[in-house]
Amino acid sequence: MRPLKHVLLVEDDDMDVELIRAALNENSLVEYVDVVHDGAEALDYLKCEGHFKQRPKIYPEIIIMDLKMPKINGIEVLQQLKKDAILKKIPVMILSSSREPKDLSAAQELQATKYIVKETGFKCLVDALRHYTESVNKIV
Amino acid sequence: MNKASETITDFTAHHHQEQASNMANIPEQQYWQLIDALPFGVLFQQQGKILYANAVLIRMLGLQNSLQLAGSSFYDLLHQDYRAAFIESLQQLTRQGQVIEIDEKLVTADNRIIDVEISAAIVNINQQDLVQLTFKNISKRKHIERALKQSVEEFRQLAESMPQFVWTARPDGWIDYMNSRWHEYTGQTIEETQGWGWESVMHPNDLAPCIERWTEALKTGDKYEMEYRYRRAKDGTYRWHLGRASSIKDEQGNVIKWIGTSTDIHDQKMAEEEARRLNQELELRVKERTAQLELANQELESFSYSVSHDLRAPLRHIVSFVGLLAKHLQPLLDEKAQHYINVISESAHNLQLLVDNLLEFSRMGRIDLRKQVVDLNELVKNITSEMAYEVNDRSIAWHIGPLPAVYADPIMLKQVFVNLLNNAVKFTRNRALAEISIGTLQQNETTLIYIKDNGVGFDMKYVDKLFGVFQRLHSKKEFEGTGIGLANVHRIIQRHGGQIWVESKPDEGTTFYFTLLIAKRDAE
Repeated sequence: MRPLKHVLLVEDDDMDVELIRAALNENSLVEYVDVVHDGAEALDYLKCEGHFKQRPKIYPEIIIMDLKMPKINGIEVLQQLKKDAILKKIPVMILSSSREPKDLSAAQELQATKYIVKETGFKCLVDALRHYTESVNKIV
Repeated sequence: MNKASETITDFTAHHHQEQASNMANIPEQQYWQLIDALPFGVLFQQQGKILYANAVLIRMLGLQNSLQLAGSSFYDLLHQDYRAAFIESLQQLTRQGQVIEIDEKLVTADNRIIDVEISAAIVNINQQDLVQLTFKNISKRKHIERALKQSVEEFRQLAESMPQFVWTARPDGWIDYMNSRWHEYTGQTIEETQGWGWESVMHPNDLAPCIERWTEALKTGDKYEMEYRYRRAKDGTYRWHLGRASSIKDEQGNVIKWIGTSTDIHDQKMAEEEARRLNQELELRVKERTAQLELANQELESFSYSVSHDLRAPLRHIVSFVGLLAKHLQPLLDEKAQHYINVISESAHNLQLLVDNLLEFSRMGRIDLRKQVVDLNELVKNITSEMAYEVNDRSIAWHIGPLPAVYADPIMLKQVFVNLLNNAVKFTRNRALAEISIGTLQQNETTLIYIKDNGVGFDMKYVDKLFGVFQRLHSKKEFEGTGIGLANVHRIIQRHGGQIWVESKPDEGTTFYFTLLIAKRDAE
């Protein structure tokens, strides 16, 4: 199975970043993971602004994003992405520790591809990415 | 000769004929016919002696014929009580020569007393001055007048005996009577009261609306009711009164009289006002207290939520990194080191479970119920089949009776059954054959569900602790658990408006009972 080439991980918790990286590596799901630590950084990254002015305009295949983050939270990022003709096409998987129905429905309304609750080992995330890759491979 | 003239022949024939013959322009016969045909009694007399009486008067006096009057004095016909006054009046008439009208009483032949209105005039017939009297029977009118007077008297007496103000007014609103209560209360004289005197003792704030209302009533003739204050003369205070008025109408619907009352409702009104004020104050206080409680509750909920929430991440990290560490060190670990790592991992797992359950418990108290029709047969079937894998090494006899459909939040209700069935499975662990029954006992508007097991049971003296958070009746070594499950079950049933209770005996088993609302078509 062809791994995903390029994933943007939006996550403020460094330990979670490390664990997610480990899970993705172990399952050889992604070739390259870029990490940003909050919503503001994520938007700069995607729009090649601020710190990321020099970044070549290459878009990640998929965005994995936390909800509860400093500055700009995940829901606000989703709202911004929806307004952008190009960015709104990138699939976004929400990876949150919240099980609140209001968070789930907010993400759903803003057309997030998936809503995954953080758990030990990130098995659900691994399964979701695998499933996504398989479906993409089938089409391509 | 005709009948009319016959009536007089016996005592005045001669005289009469003389008179008649002198009436140049009227033929004699026609003249007497005319007198007899008059609808009232006519009598001619001179110095008390009756000269002539017509047929109507004869009948009025209850006589058969005029013979019975022959030679009698007219004055004898009068009621003796009135005789002197009448004679006096006649003498005055003679002096002044004017027509007079007097109400008199006559005594009839059969001793009845009749009311008559007598007009007296001096007429000159045949150069002789005669007294001509005409009689109108007014007995009926007098009777009505007396009845009316009596009824007015009765009304007055009734009005005077009432504790309220009672009044009457003319159709134009002019007060023509107030009972003495009014005069005592307001200090007004009858003259001051007559007409619109009430305006000067009414509270200035009530005057305009009252006049408006009264004017409106006078226009329509409809009865009305309103409240206003009158000043009490004794202490100058204004007291609330309830005023009521209605009109009496004639056959054409025109108002002929207004009758009204005013009742002192001051004390009652003040008490009502006080009660209302107290109620409002109480309501306000309850509202404030409720708001405070709600706020405190909200703070507590959000505190417990964020604590649980923030605890989850570091716990997940501990579990995850211990896992990675174990994997990384696998070849180097001796038995003891492996044990230590297992203990850390297990403890972190337990803590994770605890936090998750606590979070769930907090969530169950906050989220909105999404009630719908839930078929309990299907729900229980799903749960038992999900559990089948975990209990495949056990001998469990499930007795599941037919269950109703209920009106509840399906996700929360599932939690109730998962918790209670897990408990039943857990606490029958030591039985060779576990018996678990699920059924329903009664069905009205609510249904009573029971879940019964033959497990270890517990002593009922601890029953109060059973549904509390972190309350456990067995050691963790015997039976694992966080002590939140039943608290959650309790909270969910309560939020559905149901009740839950339990019966148990050590070593014999436990039965949980709870009530739920039966699903009805119109419940949705």
